[in-house]
Amino acid sequence: MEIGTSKVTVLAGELTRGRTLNIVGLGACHARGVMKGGVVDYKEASACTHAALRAAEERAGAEIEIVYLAQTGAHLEGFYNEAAVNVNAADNCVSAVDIDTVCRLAKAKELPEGRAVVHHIRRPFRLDGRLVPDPEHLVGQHLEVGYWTVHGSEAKIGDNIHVITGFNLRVEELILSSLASGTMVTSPEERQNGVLVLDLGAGTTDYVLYRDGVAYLTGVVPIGGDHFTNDLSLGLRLTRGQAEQIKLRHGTAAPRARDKHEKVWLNGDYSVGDRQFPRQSIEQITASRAREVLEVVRKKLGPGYAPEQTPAGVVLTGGAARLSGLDEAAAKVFGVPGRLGDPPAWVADELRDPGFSTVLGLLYYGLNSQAARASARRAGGFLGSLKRILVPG
Amino acid sequence: MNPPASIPPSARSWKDIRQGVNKRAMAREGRRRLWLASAKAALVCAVVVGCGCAVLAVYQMGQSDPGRLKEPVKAAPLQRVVFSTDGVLDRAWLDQALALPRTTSLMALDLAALERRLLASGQVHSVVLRRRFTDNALVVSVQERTPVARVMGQAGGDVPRELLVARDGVAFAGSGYDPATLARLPWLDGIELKRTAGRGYEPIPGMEPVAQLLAAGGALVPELANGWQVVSLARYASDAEIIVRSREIPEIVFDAEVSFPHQLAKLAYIVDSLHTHGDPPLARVDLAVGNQVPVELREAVSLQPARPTLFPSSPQPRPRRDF
Repeated sequence: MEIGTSKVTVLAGELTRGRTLNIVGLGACHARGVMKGGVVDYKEASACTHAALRAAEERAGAEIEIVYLAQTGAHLEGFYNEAAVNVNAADNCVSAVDIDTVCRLAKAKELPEGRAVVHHIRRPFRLDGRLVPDPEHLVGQHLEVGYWTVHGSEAKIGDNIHVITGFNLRVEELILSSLASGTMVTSPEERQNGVLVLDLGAGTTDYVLYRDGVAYLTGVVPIGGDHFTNDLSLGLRLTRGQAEQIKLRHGTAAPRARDKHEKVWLNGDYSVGDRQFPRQSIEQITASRAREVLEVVRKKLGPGYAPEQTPAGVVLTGGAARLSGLDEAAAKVFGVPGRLGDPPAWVADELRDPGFSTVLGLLYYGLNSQAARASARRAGGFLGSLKRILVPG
Repeated sequence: MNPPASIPPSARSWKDIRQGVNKRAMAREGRRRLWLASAKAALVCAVVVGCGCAVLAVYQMGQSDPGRLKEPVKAAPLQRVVFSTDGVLDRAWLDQALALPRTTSLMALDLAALERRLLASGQVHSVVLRRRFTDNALVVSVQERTPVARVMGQAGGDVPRELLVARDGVAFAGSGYDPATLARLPWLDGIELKRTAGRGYEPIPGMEPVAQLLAAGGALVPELANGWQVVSLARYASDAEIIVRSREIPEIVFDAEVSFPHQLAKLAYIVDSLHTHGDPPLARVDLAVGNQVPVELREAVSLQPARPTLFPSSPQPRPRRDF
């Protein structure tokens, strides 16, 4: 489930035999009571969320049991923290205890009051300076690891969760929107090489920078597609609905109009009140805003972003990514190739819209999560189960 | 770089946020789902509890099933035999009669067969056999017959042997009695012992009035009854008469259908009357002819009716009889 600024989307999946996921239902509803990814009106947000849930359940013909919820919003922040330990064993062979110790040290950083951790994203281990995905049983003296910790406002996260629990459903996992959509529109090779994913929603723009196969940096910018609409509305003196219409039909992030007298119709159906607007004005407004959004993201990425370490380029997804020319603008701003994210081939045509990449990513995450749990249960056997009971966590 | 002695705890996670929601804040659909989930949970609980009760009931049924009980108890060996009787039979007789194998289990005992074995001895009137699982014992409670007379029985070419006859007419070979007690029992005469299909005899008819007569005689006229040697039932079937032979009076005829104390009172009166006349020997007293009592003497003597006296002249003390 994604509770977005413009729409609430529920994608229902059915896990069969712990390995196969069938998408069985889709429910979408125009969002109300949500602003920039945060709930501002509980009743309105609940009503539209529950309507989307009901619609998904009706289409699925089954009752939803658990929810994987996408989380976005400007309150989400991240920081990097790393820790190092000397390998304990006399033969310098890294043990599970060493790994556990260094991981716990790297994650042990206090947060300000009212903040809660959403994700601890581990970067690759470094054993005596060399990158290793799994250092156990390797020989070395100095083991290091770093975590990119994403945290957010406990109150805002709680509001999102309570909207779901108000439907008597349990939130199984909370997943960053950018991580969900990034997983869906990039390949493992791209993530290994380095790729930047921008998920442009209506109220926010989520980004994730992948490097060495893991999410290296994440962030949220409180600017989204609605700002394009708002700019057009103010600049051309249109209602929001008209501005949205103009944006979708004539907006672009890469202006092409050379004739300042070229005009476009508001509706184009010769109806009463239909007006003409200069195309160049529309394109300049949208392009300026698009460039601004991209530059803000670039600025927030800071020194962590380097074009030479992002050879797979920048991938755009989300509803606002449909703005034409946005890939070109992104390529200019970030200095790497830009493209519109394309979901995997197995995704049905109905769900290939960039606006569904986040919920598709959530389902994908859910499948992997459940499969990993089932695998752990199988691998642990009886003793593993006993250990889980005796030593929780 | 060594890790610190204690690693600080991880920061608060979103999973620490309480997922429960106030019912008032819950949407109608949520409340409906909650109610349905609760109902479903209650139904599942009810089904589970029902199944549990059913399993428990079946288990308890299995525990109380005698057929199932037999299995574990069958292995419990018989530890001892507890014997009680209201008569004279002893433990040796019981061991011989039961003839139990040296090692047997409690549940392997055939109580019906053991009961038949004990009842084969006519001396046993009734027997109760029961298993006592607390100490793996067989409890035997016996009610014995009391002999009232003796009879000589002979079957085929066997040696004649002394049998005892109980009040109900059953003849049996007595065991454990004091010989002096048996010697005081009168012999039966005028009867015919018939063998049954087994080794016993058919009950002798008329023994009930004989037992009453002997009991009344022993209680009311013991000095006379002690001398009764033979009781004949020869005329019992035809005339309902019981003939008693004693040392003093060779033949006393009693009517089996008339009160014995009354007849004994007459007999005592006659004996007392004759006492005043020097105790002439009696040959026969017939108490079965109504109010008249024909008395036959061995020798002819002249008798005067006895006069009642307040102070009898005879110095011999008269026996006290309370009828």
